[in-house]
Amino acid sequence: MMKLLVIGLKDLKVAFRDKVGMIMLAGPFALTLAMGFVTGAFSVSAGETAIQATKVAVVNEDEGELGDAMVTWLQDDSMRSIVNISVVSSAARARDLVDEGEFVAGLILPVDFSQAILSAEGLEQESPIEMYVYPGQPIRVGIVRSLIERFVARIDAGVVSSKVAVTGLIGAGLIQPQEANDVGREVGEALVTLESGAMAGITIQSQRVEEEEVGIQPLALLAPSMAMLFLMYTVSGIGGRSIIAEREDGTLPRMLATPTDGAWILGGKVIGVVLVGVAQLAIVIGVTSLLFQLHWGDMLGVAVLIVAAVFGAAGWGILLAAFARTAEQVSTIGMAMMLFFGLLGGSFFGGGSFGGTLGTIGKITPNAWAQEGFAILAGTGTLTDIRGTIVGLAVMGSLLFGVAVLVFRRRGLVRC
Amino acid sequence: MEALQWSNEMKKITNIAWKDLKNRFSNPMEIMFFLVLPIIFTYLLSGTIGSDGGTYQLLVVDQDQTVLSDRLVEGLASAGTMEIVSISEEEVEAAAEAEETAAILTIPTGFQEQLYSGEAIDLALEETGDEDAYDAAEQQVFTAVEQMSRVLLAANVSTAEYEKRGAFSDAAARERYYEESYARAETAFGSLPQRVEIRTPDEGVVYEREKANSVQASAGQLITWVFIPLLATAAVLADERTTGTLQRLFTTPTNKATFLLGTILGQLVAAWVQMALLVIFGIYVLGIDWGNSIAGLVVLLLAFSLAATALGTLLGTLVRSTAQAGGLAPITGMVMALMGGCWYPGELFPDTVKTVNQFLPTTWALQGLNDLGLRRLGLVEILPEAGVLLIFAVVFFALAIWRFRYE
Repeated sequence: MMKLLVIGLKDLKVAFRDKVGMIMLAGPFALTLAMGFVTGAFSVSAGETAIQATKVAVVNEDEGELGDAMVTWLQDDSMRSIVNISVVSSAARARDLVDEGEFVAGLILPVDFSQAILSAEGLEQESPIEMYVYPGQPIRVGIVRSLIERFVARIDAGVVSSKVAVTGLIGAGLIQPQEANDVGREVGEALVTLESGAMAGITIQSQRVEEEEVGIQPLALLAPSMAMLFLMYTVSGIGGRSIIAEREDGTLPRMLATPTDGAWILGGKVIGVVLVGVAQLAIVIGVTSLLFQLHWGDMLGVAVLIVAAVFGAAGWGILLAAFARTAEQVSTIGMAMMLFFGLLGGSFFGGGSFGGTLGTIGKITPNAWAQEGFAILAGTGTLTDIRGTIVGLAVMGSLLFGVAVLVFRRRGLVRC
Repeated sequence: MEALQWSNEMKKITNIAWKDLKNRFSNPMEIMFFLVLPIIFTYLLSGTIGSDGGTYQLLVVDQDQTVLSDRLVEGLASAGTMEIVSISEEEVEAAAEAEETAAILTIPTGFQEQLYSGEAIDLALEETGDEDAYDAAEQQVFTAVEQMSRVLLAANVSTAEYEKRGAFSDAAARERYYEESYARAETAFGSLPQRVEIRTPDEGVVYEREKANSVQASAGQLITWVFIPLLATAAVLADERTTGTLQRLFTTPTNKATFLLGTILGQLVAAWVQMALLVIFGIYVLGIDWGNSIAGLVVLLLAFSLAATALGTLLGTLVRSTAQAGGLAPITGMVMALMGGCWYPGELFPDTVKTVNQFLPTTWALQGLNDLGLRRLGLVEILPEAGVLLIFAVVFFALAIWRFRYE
């Protein structure tokens, strides 16, 4: 047993003395910091959105009442976190502001906007709102567009309803055609003042799988993703490489010449990989907790999850070492594995995943399992809540180690 | 004499470049980073593989079995890409376990009756597994319900207005009037004119959200996967220095400029081939529209590759070993790609970050590719971006030459 630990601790020392080893520490920090900056995660608390309101320049040329109503609605307090409205004097000015990159969209309400919608011919008359946008901002453009369409849809609903009512009443002989305008306006005005919920009639009761809604700091999702991304590099690129390097450097045959079984040597190497991985994750977690006041959650759960995540990831590293022929091969494939698993496991999306079939395939990566576990713990979860994750990672690690040992035996690299 | 000397120097430059290329591709795994991973990443992230909705099913239990519930089921089918499957109540338990089930919608008994009489009604939408699939299903249900609700509202208002002024002879007459109003409202909503028109600064360019997403994602991946290997020029320089081959090279009649040009040329040629292959793959396999200015695309990518190589060369003069360079290049590349908007939509970055990002070549390269692909601008219009990239190249090269040491 002591031999196992000695080999493992030796590998831990070698890994941290190696300057390349600093990548495994610098990498997650650099990318977490960058992610924090670009997502604005440093400036928001748990449960808040970091996205700034979309800047929109509005020109109201409408001579009727709808234009004013729309501008007032867009400037309402409830909209402040979504859109930041500036009313400007001319369409040319609004377009200039978009061209200069100051604003995402320019909304130009045409002179006959109200007249087109509310008149007798309104259902057919085209006089659209011009939304002037730079095409490289599809998300923000989508937000503004959906707001405008929501407003217009309510007006249209009122207009259509009043016209349908009036047509029916005239057809049934309950009103005279000359009363149509008055009755139509009366019905339409009553509808416009209705709340959107009251308009719906049908309500959807979402019965979601029960999950406690908790506020999680955005960085608490980004940091584990980056930590897992680089853990894969460590266990495959560095850990797996050390096994091959022992063979290439001739230290493996020398170790085998001592009264030490090959299986113990391999076991020691595995412990080395696991120790390096655990140290890496522990340092990343410790430093992010201190520097960014990051809440990782239940410490016992975090500790167990670290070991399980490293065990699962180390399985891939050892399997890679079992198949590879040179240290260079391990480094290159290890880097490819880190990137591919990062993509499939959702590390590049702050722990999110593709969903569907790709999401299911992503479960072969320790990234997907561990990130899910860290997200649960960053909420209000405890060790009990991540039992499935721990078991998943343990099974992954065990299976991969098993296959690796078989390959090592077949290639005559260990005798056990 | 001068011509002969020039020819000799050119030969040395191409020999150094060829040697570096052979070294780089002597490892067959290099093709993984050169082409395989960039293609996989671009394919998965460009949004051209369809939405999740296509692989899942939305199950509907219609307990009402009326004209209106049938209309809702029809509306669901046209409101999104997810397949709608009607099942009986007995099948619910087994269906909920199926992997392809996104959600189960139950239309309760009395659905038509309550809505025809103007009463509100609840529809139960049950999540069965995948959260993202449920979100897609919920969106599809919302769209269908919203479309039906506005028609119902019009029919309800119409019927109520009738009742304010007179009474129906019997329930059948009321239902007939309601149906006629419903049909009129459906026709009216179906023929509404366009209320919002999206215009872009460029004449003839039609805004398409999906296209914007796919061009941006593909451009981001192209920049990332070309940028990181070019930064690894640092490792080539460090390797020559630490293994002593650089000193040996300078015992021959080869000067610093020839060596640097040869090393840079090798990396640039590889980058040009890689970019050409990725652009062609994007066009012919993913259907990415890179715009209509080949000259603009070539100039922009040339300027970008020069800026990236110059930065790699500068890094090569700052590091002490190949290992340091090998570690620093991917991290620097990943951070710059991320900050430049290549991984995460730059439009959502905070304003301060957007300002800082103006100092990154990745930001300008992405901006240029967006201008070409989304705004369909030409060579002249993207010269500012190409110009800034060339300024980066000049500054980085100048610093690299200043810092360059033989040992």
